[in-house]
Amino acid sequence: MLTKDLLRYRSRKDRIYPTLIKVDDPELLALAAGLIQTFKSAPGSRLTELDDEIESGPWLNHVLLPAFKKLLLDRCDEIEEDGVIADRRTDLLQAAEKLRRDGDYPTLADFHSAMRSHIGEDVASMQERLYADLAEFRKIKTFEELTPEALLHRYNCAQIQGLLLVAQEVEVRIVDANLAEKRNFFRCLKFQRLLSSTVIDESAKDTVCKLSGPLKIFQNSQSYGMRLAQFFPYILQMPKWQLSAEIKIGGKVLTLELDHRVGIHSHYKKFTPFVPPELTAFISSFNERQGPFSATIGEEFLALGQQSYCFPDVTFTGADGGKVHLEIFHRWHAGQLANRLKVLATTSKQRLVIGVAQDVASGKDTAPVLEGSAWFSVHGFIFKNLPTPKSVQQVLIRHAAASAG
Amino acid sequence: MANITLEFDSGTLVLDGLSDPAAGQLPSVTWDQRTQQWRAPGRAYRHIVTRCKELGHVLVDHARAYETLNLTLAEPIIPREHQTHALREWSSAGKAGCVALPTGAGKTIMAVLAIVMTGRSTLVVVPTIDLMQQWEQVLSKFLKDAGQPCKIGLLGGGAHDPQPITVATYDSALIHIERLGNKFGLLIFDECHHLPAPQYQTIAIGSLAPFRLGLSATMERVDGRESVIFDLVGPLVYEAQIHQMVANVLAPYDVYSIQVPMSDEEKNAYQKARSVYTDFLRRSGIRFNNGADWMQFVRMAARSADGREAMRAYREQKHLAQAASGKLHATWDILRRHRGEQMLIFTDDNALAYRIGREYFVPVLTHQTKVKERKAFLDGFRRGEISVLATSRVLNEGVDVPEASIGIVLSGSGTVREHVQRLGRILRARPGKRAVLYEVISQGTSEYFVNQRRRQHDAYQGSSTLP
Repeated sequence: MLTKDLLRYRSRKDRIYPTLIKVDDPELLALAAGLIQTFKSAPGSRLTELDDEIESGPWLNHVLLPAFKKLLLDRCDEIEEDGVIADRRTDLLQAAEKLRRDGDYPTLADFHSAMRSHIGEDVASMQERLYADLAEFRKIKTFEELTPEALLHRYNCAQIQGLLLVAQEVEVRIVDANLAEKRNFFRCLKFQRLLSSTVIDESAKDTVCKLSGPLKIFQNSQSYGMRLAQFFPYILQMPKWQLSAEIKIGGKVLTLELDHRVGIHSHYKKFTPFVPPELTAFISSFNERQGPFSATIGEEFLALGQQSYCFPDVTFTGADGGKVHLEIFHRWHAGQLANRLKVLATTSKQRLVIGVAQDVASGKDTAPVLEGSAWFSVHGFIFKNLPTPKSVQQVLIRHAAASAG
Repeated sequence: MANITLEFDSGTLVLDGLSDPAAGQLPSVTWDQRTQQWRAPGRAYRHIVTRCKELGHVLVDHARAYETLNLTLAEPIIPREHQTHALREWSSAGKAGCVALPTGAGKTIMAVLAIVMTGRSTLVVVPTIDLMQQWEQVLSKFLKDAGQPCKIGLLGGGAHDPQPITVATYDSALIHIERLGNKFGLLIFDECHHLPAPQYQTIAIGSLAPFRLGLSATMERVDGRESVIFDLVGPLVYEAQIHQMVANVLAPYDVYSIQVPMSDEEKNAYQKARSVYTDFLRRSGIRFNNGADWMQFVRMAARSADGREAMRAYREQKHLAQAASGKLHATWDILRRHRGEQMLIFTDDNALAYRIGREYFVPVLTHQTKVKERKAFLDGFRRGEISVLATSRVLNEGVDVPEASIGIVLSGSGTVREHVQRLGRILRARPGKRAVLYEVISQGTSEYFVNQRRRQHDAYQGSSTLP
């Protein structure tokens, strides 16, 4: 990310506008390409040498140089020094301490002469070696390459992240995202330990989230700014989005408003949706029975309350158009089952049934939870390898009866 | 009467089983629309539990995860009068309050007694890694838990080992408070004047510790936000100034200011750079009245070639004044004058500290110094094997170097707080000790005016200017 002094923005009235760059600007692409080339040949050099090389380039006074340099330095790993310099330093410092104690040298030059005689080495050379393991003298080990265009996108992203660092709360509207994209969005939200008050705008099929941290309602500080900034690249992965944030900067609170038209590519690895073939096979088999429901791959997500979100695997549509969803629990996400049942027991009625794999259901932690769940006895079922159409139809009937009652 | 379940959730308390009217009777409890739950900040724990008891509510407390410990002293401590007094006042205030004692007056020992008196899991929050290690040593030496040596946990500087008694840096405590905020019953903020920083406040807000102690040499802040400390920790229950303790607790001292002329070449370069910088300020209509004005300068400087030139000029004139060659010679004279005594050289930035290190071949302590070497330098200094240490700011606060009797300030931020902190480093009493603080200033530069302004403070009583 960029430090405060490298942020570029304008403010007018109560709004703030980050100064973004054109990612197809030939001059900027050339600058980025030149710098990347310099960094590519940097491994093995000291940071001071890299600095010298950058400062000798034709871009010295370019306004974007410090920011590009910072972003590229963030992609470098340094070599840890091996302790030889520190050992040598101890010897030199001990020798100097002894000389200062034992003799009185009227001038600094006299003291330097004594050091030269005692160590048998030129003073300038000793001085150069004395603290040669400081950060600026460290060697670069690796540089993670990127394309010039990616650097320009990264710059734009970092400009916005820099503002979000001092945001108190962010509102995001996600438009036209599929279930896999939304699932990833909420998974990452949880990973960043952010809370969201989520409203699903059924008419527009949009999801509106206010993102902040648990303490936000008590403390108007930017405590969650880092997390909001780190979350921003996930927002960039949504197909269409709008963002609004209150930015506290220079003693003022300014509004930042952006949407997907800024055209920034996220540098985070993109989640790719995957539908297991077994699930596709189950849906085909279920629909072949021609019962009262037809099955499709899950396409909605349910906000259950208390920060619980459910992304059903299958959606069943009845003859009247009513929908019921199925969420399947296998071993790899069994940990969420107890919390899911706790939330479902306390929140309002959901159009949801749950299937739990046999090996999960018989687990010593899970078995008593399932036995003690009145909700599961009506809306849940246990399966061996995969849910069978018959067992699912039975639970759908129980669910319909309970909902009608 | 209600049956209330209390849980700790990432620095907050979640209350289950509350009705609207019952929630209204509890302090700081708010309905959280996001999760559809009643929620309160962690810090409200003490007041909520007390209020629930008063109202006769049945409270199932899943929030508290701190322990009651059977703490005793491994070595006897005979507290000084001011420590006894401070401890008594703190205890009378419900074990929640602040104590202001000058450096060297035994804040850490007073805190050890407070930890034993409270007998709860304790988190000590400190500003630097050096202080973290120092606290660990003191607590390991004096504390026993159930008759056994007490293992002290550390958070920060690469260590992550939380224990019932733990020392953490402010930065690490901030990162981990959401997970650890319910695991400590006593929270001690060393150098608690850091606490009003917006991020650090979260440590105090997100912790449910009912017992709190704030320690500092002076609570006073330039921005006047010391009230935040009292709100988050508790009121100022005891305060003593340097001059009240000199002779009894602290060593007597002198402060000398030495003005050194710049060379003609340095003077010309200084004036040239300063006029570029001040011209830009004038053209841009910037006057430095508060911190926001400085940020305005930073922002404006980044927006134009002129501005960037002004920023370069600002840094250059500051560097020229701070690192004038005359200072090196004046410092050498001081080192000779006090040969054999323990001396600390203070600079404003690392670059000058390392320059001093290279010129005099002395150890340099900065935030870049590795933990192992930092410990070796400080131990060597304490044993008298090292007589001169150069440092930028890491020794400003708290680090115990009782042997130091001479301080040389080559450059600094100009604040009274920094001056008092640096002075405090050389004031720990020893029989026959008289401490001396030298301030070496470049003549005819902004350093002179900063020095004059600072001399209004009472810690300068009896100071004089050397030719």
